[in-house]
Amino acid sequence: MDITRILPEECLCLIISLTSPVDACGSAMVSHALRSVADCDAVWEKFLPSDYKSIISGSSSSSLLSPGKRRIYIFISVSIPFSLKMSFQLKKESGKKCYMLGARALSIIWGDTPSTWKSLPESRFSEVVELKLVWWLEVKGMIDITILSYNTNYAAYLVFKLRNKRTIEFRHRAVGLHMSAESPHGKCGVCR
Amino acid sequence: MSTTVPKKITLRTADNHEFEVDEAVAMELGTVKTFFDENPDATDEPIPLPNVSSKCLSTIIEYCKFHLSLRARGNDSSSAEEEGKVYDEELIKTHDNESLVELILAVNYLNIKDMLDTLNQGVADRIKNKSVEYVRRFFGIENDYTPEEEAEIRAQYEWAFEGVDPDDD
Repeated sequence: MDITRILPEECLCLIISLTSPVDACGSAMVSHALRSVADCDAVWEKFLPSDYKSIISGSSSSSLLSPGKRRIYIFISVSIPFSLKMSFQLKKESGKKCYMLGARALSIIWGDTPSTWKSLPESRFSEVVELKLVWWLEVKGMIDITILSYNTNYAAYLVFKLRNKRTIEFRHRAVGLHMSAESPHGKCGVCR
Repeated sequence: MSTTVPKKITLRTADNHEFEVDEAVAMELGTVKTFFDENPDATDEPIPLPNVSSKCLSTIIEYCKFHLSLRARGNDSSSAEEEGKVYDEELIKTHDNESLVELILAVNYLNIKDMLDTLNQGVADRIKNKSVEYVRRFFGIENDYTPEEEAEIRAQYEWAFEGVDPDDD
């Protein structure tokens, strides 16, 4: 029983769109017939976030021509610069949206002086802040949660790099995290 | 509306079995509904369903009856939703791959959207996180790629498998 000869294409399309992007790529490797289904726009449209068009147009690489939905998916699942302060990435396994705030979008204590803004080849942002001497570290960032994926558990990461081994007294400190959600009508939820 | 006895509709399967069902149940079958919408003066002749076996049709009628009765209870409780879920899970569980595909074919022809979604999801769940070889066996598909083509495609889709756990079989 070869399913690609039995089921109509729109049915196969639906089945594959109910798996995951990684499974769709696996299906493409099964046979020619299944590949033509697994690559079709109807499948990849389901995996893309509903606002993918505005994500592309909001990114600084908005010159993307429309080469098929699968290509668009691949394109936005590698990190794309969204603005100088923010970048975007689609988690390729799940199609969930991730945003990264650059140092320029954060308020960082000691971030004014005596520190320097510089570029680091390994950073996805054109500028990072280098803090030369700090007594403690406090970083605040804000993101509009309406741009995130629904029904999704998010984790927040702080990405930093210690300058050299002489950086002392940093590794074994407790880290405090405070998160709050605000709406135009006031605070609606706080967790610590 | 004065009728108290619900109108019956007779459906005839590919293997020549006749099923007499309530009009409400028959109307769950999109294809049958369209037929009556387009032919309001249709007689009481049995409606032929040349793409549906009697085995499939009896499963489909059971499904439609059950979900109709759940809907008739209205949005009274989450228990109706829960019961529907349990029924759907059981439906998937009691069908092997081949009979599931046969059922999808029939439901697709009869155009019953909810049931089709349930069945498609059932098949999708069975191939999720599986290896290419597993999906081939599952779908009964012969590998028609040459080794060169296979290597080329593997390279092209490598993006998807970077940093993802290896397939389980």
